[in-house]
Amino acid sequence: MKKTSPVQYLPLTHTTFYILISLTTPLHGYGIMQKVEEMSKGEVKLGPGTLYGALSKLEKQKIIAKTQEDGERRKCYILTELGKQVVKLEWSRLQNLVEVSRKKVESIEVEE
Amino acid sequence: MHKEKKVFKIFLAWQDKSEEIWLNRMAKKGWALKSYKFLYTFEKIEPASYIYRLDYKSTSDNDLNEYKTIFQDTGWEYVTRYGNWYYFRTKESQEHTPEIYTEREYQIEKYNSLLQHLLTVFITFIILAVSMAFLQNSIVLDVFFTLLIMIFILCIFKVRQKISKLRD
Repeated sequence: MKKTSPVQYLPLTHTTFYILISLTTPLHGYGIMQKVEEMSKGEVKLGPGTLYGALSKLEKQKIIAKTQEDGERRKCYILTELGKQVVKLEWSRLQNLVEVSRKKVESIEVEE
Repeated sequence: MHKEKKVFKIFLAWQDKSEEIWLNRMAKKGWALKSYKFLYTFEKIEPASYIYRLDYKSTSDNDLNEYKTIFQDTGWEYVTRYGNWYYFRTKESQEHTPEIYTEREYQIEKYNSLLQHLLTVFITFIILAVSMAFLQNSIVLDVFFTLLIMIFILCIFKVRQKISKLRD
Protein backbone atom coordinates (compact mmCIF):
# COMPACT_ATOMS: atom_id res chain seq x y z
CA MET A 1 0.00 0.00 0.00
CA LYS A 2 1.53 3.30 -1.06
CA LYS A 3 1.64 6.10 1.40
CA THR A 4 -0.70 8.95 0.62
CA SER A 5 0.88 12.35 0.73
CA PRO A 6 -1.38 15.42 0.68
CA VAL A 7 0.65 16.97 -2.17
CA GLN A 8 -0.54 14.39 -4.67
CA TYR A 9 -4.09 15.78 -4.54
CA LEU A 10 -3.05 19.26 -5.64
CA PRO A 11 -4.10 21.36 -7.40
CA LEU A 12 -7.75 21.19 -6.41
CA THR A 13 -10.53 22.37 -8.66
CA HIS A 14 -12.55 25.40 -7.69
CA THR A 15 -15.51 23.22 -6.73
CA THR A 16 -13.47 20.74 -4.69
CA PHE A 17 -11.73 23.53 -2.78
CA TYR A 18 -15.05 25.11 -1.87
CA ILE A 19 -16.48 21.79 -0.73
CA LEU A 20 -13.44 21.13 1.45
CA ILE A 21 -13.41 24.51 3.15
CA SER A 22 -17.12 24.10 3.90
CA LEU A 23 -16.32 20.91 5.79
CA THR A 24 -14.37 22.40 8.69
CA THR A 25 -17.63 21.72 10.56
CA PRO A 26 -19.79 18.64 9.88
CA LEU A 27 -22.37 19.16 7.14
CA HIS A 28 -24.64 16.96 5.06
CA GLY A 29 -24.96 17.19 1.29
CA TYR A 30 -27.57 19.91 1.12
CA GLY A 31 -25.79 21.84 3.88
CA ILE A 32 -22.60 21.80 1.81
CA MET A 33 -24.44 23.21 -1.20
CA GLN A 34 -25.92 26.06 0.82
CA LYS A 35 -22.63 26.82 2.53
CA VAL A 36 -20.69 26.85 -0.74
CA GLU A 37 -23.25 29.08 -2.40
CA GLU A 38 -23.13 31.45 0.55
CA MET A 39 -19.32 31.53 0.76
CA SER A 40 -18.96 32.14 -2.96
CA LYS A 41 -21.70 34.79 -2.87
CA GLY A 42 -23.86 32.77 -5.22
CA GLU A 43 -21.12 32.19 -7.76
CA VAL A 44 -20.73 28.46 -7.14
CA LYS A 45 -23.95 26.49 -7.27
CA LEU A 46 -23.35 22.78 -6.92
CA GLY A 47 -25.48 20.40 -8.91
CA PRO A 48 -26.39 17.14 -7.15
CA GLY A 49 -24.42 15.03 -9.64
CA THR A 50 -21.31 17.08 -9.04
CA LEU A 51 -21.77 17.03 -5.29
CA TYR A 52 -22.39 13.29 -5.07
CA GLY A 53 -19.42 12.63 -7.37
CA ALA A 54 -17.19 14.85 -5.27
CA LEU A 55 -18.29 13.40 -1.93
CA SER A 56 -17.86 9.78 -2.96
CA LYS A 57 -14.46 10.45 -4.50
CA LEU A 58 -13.17 12.54 -1.60
CA GLU A 59 -14.37 9.94 0.87
CA LYS A 60 -12.60 7.20 -1.07
CA GLN A 61 -9.42 9.29 -1.01
CA LYS A 62 -9.90 9.66 2.77
CA ILE A 63 -9.84 13.45 2.48
CA ILE A 64 -13.27 13.60 4.10
CA ALA A 65 -15.13 11.10 6.30
CA LYS A 66 -18.67 10.48 7.50
CA THR A 67 -19.20 11.67 11.06
CA GLN A 68 -21.59 8.91 12.02
CA GLU A 69 -22.55 5.68 10.32
CA ASP A 70 -26.05 4.32 9.71
CA GLY A 71 -29.38 5.66 10.83
CA GLU A 72 -29.75 9.10 9.34
CA ARG A 73 -30.74 9.42 5.72
CA ARG A 74 -28.58 12.51 5.39
CA LYS A 75 -24.98 11.64 6.14
CA CYS A 76 -22.70 14.30 7.57
CA TYR A 77 -19.15 14.75 6.42
CA ILE A 78 -16.08 16.35 7.93
CA LEU A 79 -12.45 16.92 6.91
CA THR A 80 -10.04 14.20 7.99
CA GLU A 81 -6.49 14.92 9.14
CA LEU A 82 -5.33 14.28 5.58
CA GLY A 83 -8.09 16.60 4.34
CA LYS A 84 -6.95 19.38 6.65
CA GLN A 85 -3.41 19.04 5.30
CA VAL A 86 -4.66 19.09 1.72
CA VAL A 87 -6.64 22.30 2.33
CA LYS A 88 -3.71 24.00 4.06
CA LEU A 89 -1.30 23.03 1.29
CA GLU A 90 -3.66 24.15 -1.45
CA TRP A 91 -4.20 27.43 0.31
CA SER A 92 -0.44 28.04 0.61
CA ARG A 93 -0.03 27.13 -3.04
CA LEU A 94 -2.68 29.65 -4.07
CA GLN A 95 -1.33 32.30 -1.75
CA ASN A 96 2.17 31.75 -3.05
CA LEU A 97 0.92 32.03 -6.62
CA VAL A 98 -0.68 35.37 -5.84
CA GLU A 99 2.43 36.66 -4.05
CA VAL A 100 4.94 35.76 -6.72
CA SER A 101 2.78 37.06 -9.53
CA ARG A 102 1.65 40.26 -7.84
CA LYS A 103 4.30 42.61 -9.28
CA LYS A 104 4.02 41.16 -12.77
CA VAL A 105 0.27 41.28 -12.83
CA GLU A 106 0.13 44.79 -11.41
CA SER A 107 2.52 45.99 -14.10
CA ILE A 108 0.26 44.71 -16.87
CA GLU A 109 -1.77 47.50 -18.37
CA VAL A 110 -5.04 46.60 -19.96
CA GLU A 111 -6.35 48.91 -22.65
CA GLU A 112 -9.86 50.10 -22.05
CA MET B 1 -55.41 4.32 -12.23
CA HIS B 2 -53.68 6.52 -14.76
CA LYS B 3 -53.62 5.59 -18.37
CA GLU B 4 -50.31 4.11 -19.42
CA LYS B 5 -48.51 3.36 -22.61
CA LYS B 6 -45.37 1.50 -23.48
CA VAL B 7 -42.93 2.73 -26.08
CA PHE B 8 -40.03 0.94 -27.69
CA LYS B 9 -37.11 3.16 -28.53
CA ILE B 10 -33.39 2.63 -28.54
CA PHE B 11 -30.84 5.07 -27.22
CA LEU B 12 -27.26 3.87 -27.10
CA ALA B 13 -24.73 4.53 -24.34
CA TRP B 14 -23.61 7.93 -25.58
CA GLN B 15 -27.08 9.23 -26.43
CA ASP B 16 -28.11 10.26 -22.93
CA LYS B 17 -28.62 13.88 -24.01
CA SER B 18 -30.94 12.88 -26.87
CA GLU B 19 -32.84 10.63 -24.49
CA GLU B 20 -33.32 13.52 -22.06
CA ILE B 21 -34.63 15.77 -24.83
CA TRP B 22 -37.04 13.08 -25.95
CA LEU B 23 -38.33 12.58 -22.39
CA ASN B 24 -38.82 16.35 -22.00
CA ARG B 25 -40.86 16.37 -25.21
CA MET B 26 -42.96 13.43 -24.10
CA ALA B 27 -43.84 15.26 -20.86
CA LYS B 28 -44.85 18.32 -22.87
CA LYS B 29 -47.20 16.06 -24.81
CA GLY B 30 -48.65 14.75 -21.54
CA TRP B 31 -46.68 11.56 -21.08
CA ALA B 32 -44.45 11.26 -18.04
CA LEU B 33 -41.85 8.54 -17.76
CA LYS B 34 -42.73 6.02 -15.09
CA SER B 35 -40.21 3.27 -15.61
CA TYR B 36 -37.85 1.76 -18.11
CA LYS B 37 -37.12 -1.90 -18.70
CA PHE B 38 -36.35 -2.39 -22.38
CA LEU B 39 -39.61 -0.51 -22.92
CA TYR B 40 -40.41 2.96 -21.71
CA THR B 41 -43.57 3.06 -19.62
CA PHE B 42 -45.29 6.42 -19.71
CA GLU B 43 -48.12 7.63 -17.56
CA LYS B 44 -50.76 10.06 -18.82
CA ILE B 45 -50.41 13.44 -17.12
CA GLU B 46 -51.47 17.01 -17.74
CA PRO B 47 -48.89 18.29 -20.25
CA ALA B 48 -46.01 19.68 -18.16
CA SER B 49 -42.61 21.21 -18.65
CA TYR B 50 -40.21 18.83 -17.00
CA ILE B 51 -36.49 18.66 -17.38
CA TYR B 52 -35.21 15.11 -17.33
CA ARG B 53 -31.61 14.25 -16.52
CA LEU B 54 -29.83 10.92 -16.62
CA ASP B 55 -27.07 10.15 -14.22
CA TYR B 56 -24.70 7.20 -14.26
CA LYS B 57 -23.79 5.90 -10.83
CA SER B 58 -21.38 3.01 -10.77
CA THR B 59 -20.71 2.92 -7.04
CA SER B 60 -22.36 0.26 -4.86
CA ASP B 61 -26.00 0.53 -3.80
CA ASN B 62 -25.06 0.98 -0.13
CA ASP B 63 -25.37 4.73 -0.36
CA LEU B 64 -28.40 4.71 -2.64
CA ASN B 65 -30.64 6.50 -0.15
CA GLU B 66 -28.09 9.21 0.40
CA TYR B 67 -27.59 9.59 -3.34
CA LYS B 68 -31.32 10.02 -3.93
CA THR B 69 -31.58 12.39 -0.96
CA ILE B 70 -28.93 14.72 -2.39
CA PHE B 71 -30.94 14.96 -5.60
CA GLN B 72 -34.24 15.38 -3.78
CA ASP B 73 -32.87 18.12 -1.54
CA THR B 74 -31.97 20.15 -4.61
CA GLY B 75 -35.35 19.75 -6.24
CA TRP B 76 -34.74 16.69 -8.38
CA GLU B 77 -37.35 13.96 -8.24
CA TYR B 78 -36.13 10.40 -8.65
CA VAL B 79 -38.13 8.69 -11.40
CA THR B 80 -36.62 5.29 -12.06
CA ARG B 81 -33.40 3.46 -12.72
CA TYR B 82 -32.14 1.03 -15.28
CA GLY B 83 -28.94 -0.68 -14.21
CA ASN B 84 -26.53 2.11 -13.38
CA TRP B 85 -28.59 4.75 -15.16
CA TYR B 86 -30.76 6.93 -12.95
CA TYR B 87 -33.57 9.10 -14.22
CA PHE B 88 -34.37 12.35 -12.44
CA ARG B 89 -36.71 15.16 -13.29
CA THR B 90 -37.44 18.67 -12.14
CA LYS B 91 -40.01 21.30 -13.05
CA GLU B 92 -38.72 23.73 -15.61
CA SER B 93 -38.10 27.14 -14.07
CA GLN B 94 -38.01 30.50 -15.77
CA GLU B 95 -34.71 31.63 -14.27
CA HIS B 96 -32.20 29.08 -15.41
CA THR B 97 -31.78 25.52 -16.58
CA PRO B 98 -30.80 23.55 -13.52
CA GLU B 99 -28.05 21.10 -14.21
CA ILE B 100 -27.08 18.07 -12.19
CA TYR B 101 -23.45 18.62 -13.15
CA THR B 102 -22.18 22.13 -12.57
CA GLU B 103 -18.59 21.60 -13.64
CA ARG B 104 -16.63 19.23 -15.80
CA GLU B 105 -14.43 17.23 -13.45
CA TYR B 106 -17.11 14.95 -12.06
CA GLN B 107 -19.02 14.82 -15.30
CA ILE B 108 -15.87 13.42 -16.89
CA GLU B 109 -15.71 10.88 -14.06
CA LYS B 110 -19.30 9.88 -14.74
CA TYR B 111 -18.51 9.10 -18.38
CA ASN B 112 -15.23 7.48 -17.41
CA SER B 113 -17.00 4.98 -15.20
CA LEU B 114 -19.50 4.35 -18.00
CA LEU B 115 -16.59 3.73 -20.35
CA GLN B 116 -14.97 1.32 -17.89
CA HIS B 117 -18.22 -0.57 -17.62
CA LEU B 118 -18.64 -0.73 -21.40
CA LEU B 119 -15.10 -2.04 -21.81
CA THR B 120 -15.62 -4.76 -19.19
CA VAL B 121 -18.84 -5.94 -20.80
CA PHE B 122 -17.24 -5.72 -24.23
CA ILE B 123 -14.28 -7.92 -23.28
CA THR B 124 -16.56 -10.49 -21.61
CA PHE B 125 -18.69 -10.41 -24.70
CA ILE B 126 -15.77 -10.96 -27.08
CA ILE B 127 -14.68 -14.01 -25.07
CA LEU B 128 -18.22 -15.34 -25.19
CA ALA B 129 -18.57 -14.67 -28.92
CA VAL B 130 -15.27 -16.36 -29.76
CA SER B 131 -16.07 -19.46 -27.74
CA MET B 132 -19.54 -19.62 -29.27
CA ALA B 133 -18.04 -19.40 -32.74
CA PHE B 134 -15.87 -22.42 -31.96
CA LEU B 135 -18.70 -24.39 -30.46
CA GLN B 136 -21.20 -24.07 -33.22
CA ASN B 137 -21.46 -23.08 -36.79
CA SER B 138 -24.36 -20.77 -37.13
CA ILE B 139 -24.44 -17.91 -39.60
CA VAL B 140 -27.30 -16.27 -37.72
CA LEU B 141 -25.33 -16.23 -34.47
CA ASP B 142 -22.23 -14.97 -36.24
CA VAL B 143 -24.13 -12.11 -37.79
CA PHE B 144 -25.81 -11.33 -34.49
CA PHE B 145 -22.52 -11.26 -32.58
CA THR B 146 -20.74 -9.24 -35.25
CA LEU B 147 -23.52 -6.70 -35.19
CA LEU B 148 -23.43 -6.43 -31.40
CA ILE B 149 -19.67 -6.12 -31.39
CA MET B 150 -19.91 -3.30 -33.91
CA ILE B 151 -22.48 -1.50 -31.77
CA PHE B 152 -20.21 -1.90 -28.74
CA ILE B 153 -17.22 -0.48 -30.61
CA LEU B 154 -19.35 2.45 -31.71
CA CYS B 155 -20.53 3.07 -28.13
CA ILE B 156 -17.00 2.94 -26.75
CA PHE B 157 -15.75 5.27 -29.47
CA LYS B 158 -18.58 7.75 -28.95
CA VAL B 159 -18.29 7.82 -25.17
CA ARG B 160 -14.54 8.40 -25.48
CA GLN B 161 -15.24 11.23 -27.88
CA LYS B 162 -17.62 12.72 -25.35
CA ILE B 163 -14.99 12.59 -22.62
CA SER B 164 -12.32 14.24 -24.76
CA LYS B 165 -14.78 16.97 -25.74
CA LEU B 166 -15.41 17.66 -22.04
CA ARG B 167 -11.65 17.77 -21.41
CA ASP B 168 -11.08 20.51 -23.99
